[in-house]
Amino acid sequence: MVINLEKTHLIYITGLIIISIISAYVLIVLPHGAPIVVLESSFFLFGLGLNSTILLWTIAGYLFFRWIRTNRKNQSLLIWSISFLIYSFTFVAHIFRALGFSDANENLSVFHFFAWRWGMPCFSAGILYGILKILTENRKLQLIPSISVGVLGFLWLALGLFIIPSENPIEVTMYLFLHTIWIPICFTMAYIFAFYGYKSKEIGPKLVGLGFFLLMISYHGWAPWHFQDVVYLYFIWYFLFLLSLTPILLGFVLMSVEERHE
Amino acid sequence: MKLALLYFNTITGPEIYFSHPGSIIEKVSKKVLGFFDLDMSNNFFEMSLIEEDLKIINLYFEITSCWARGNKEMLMLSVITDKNHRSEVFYEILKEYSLKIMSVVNLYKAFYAKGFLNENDPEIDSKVEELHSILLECYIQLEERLKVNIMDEKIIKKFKKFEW
Repeated sequence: MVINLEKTHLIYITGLIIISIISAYVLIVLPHGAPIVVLESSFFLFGLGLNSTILLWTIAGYLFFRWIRTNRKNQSLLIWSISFLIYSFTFVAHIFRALGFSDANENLSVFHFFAWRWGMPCFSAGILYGILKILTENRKLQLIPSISVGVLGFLWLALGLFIIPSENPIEVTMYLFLHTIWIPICFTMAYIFAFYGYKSKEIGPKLVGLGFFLLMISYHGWAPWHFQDVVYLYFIWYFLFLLSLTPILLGFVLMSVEERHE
Repeated sequence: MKLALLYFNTITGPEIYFSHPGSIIEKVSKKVLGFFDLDMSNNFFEMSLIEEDLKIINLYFEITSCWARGNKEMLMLSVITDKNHRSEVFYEILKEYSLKIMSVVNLYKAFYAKGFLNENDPEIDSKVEELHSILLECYIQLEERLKVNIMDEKIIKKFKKFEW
């Protein structure tokens, strides 16, 4: 009986042994963790950037996995997967910035900002193209709005960062981009998924819609709270942004689960 | 889409009392009338006519009657529609209008307009009119619901044409 139990739950028993060894070590030695000095004042940015990157890569990975598993027929899955991956570059930069890599600081110069933020117009165009591929078979209707969003996004980046003379070009760029492209695109995605979820009585699309809605709200917080004296509140919006990625991931997972149970 | 009201004529058997718009083709009407002879455990049921690409959605109900055998008229509201529409779409409206029909006092008289024993009853004509207006209203509601449903189905189909 005992031998049987050991064989069946070998992994559990091995785990318990390892935990016991670690616990014994901690309780006897009382170890003091090694410091990472550079994170002393940027741990929150590191944590936020790390979690965002993990979630964005998980979403991108899951969408890519589903694209493969569904015989590569649903192109939107691939397009969204690439879009989320590109979008994650901004947050990878946050991790490195928190670790003290000055080149990863998007606020260092307009060039640095462009280098770490070009993914956002690509993401906007990509997610729009993905949804348009579902909604219409007309190639023109798929391409024209998506390309327009991409071009306009890059135009705002170019105008705001390099052409319009301003004391704070990053601010001008963000105001233009967020409130004319990013927020309307997020709302569009939120509405379409929520509408589909409501009509099909499925939870997955509703969650994706909720995620995009929260994403939109979190970016609404940027403009009023990006100023230096209230920037700590911007980080609360960042937390909300992080939260918004969870229903997006969960929603996409549920969509495939609900499909299998139909 | 067509709406029909069937009733069980004590003398001639199942009969289509009302259909809108226009009449129902004989092939289909024979099948619809045949449903009355089935012993259905559920009041709400559907039948698919594969060859005709149609679906018949039915709600069977009864109203009290002083003139019928057993003191009840057996009625059935039937919707004849494209086979792709889900029957649940029509259920609520059919249920609502069956309750409306049940709630009208002496409505059973509407089924005795064609020369039965009580053809001289002064209330028959008004009950026929009342029943017709309820059924026309029901048809309009069904048509509107169907339009909304077609729009809903469109977006569902767009998403469902891909695997997720």
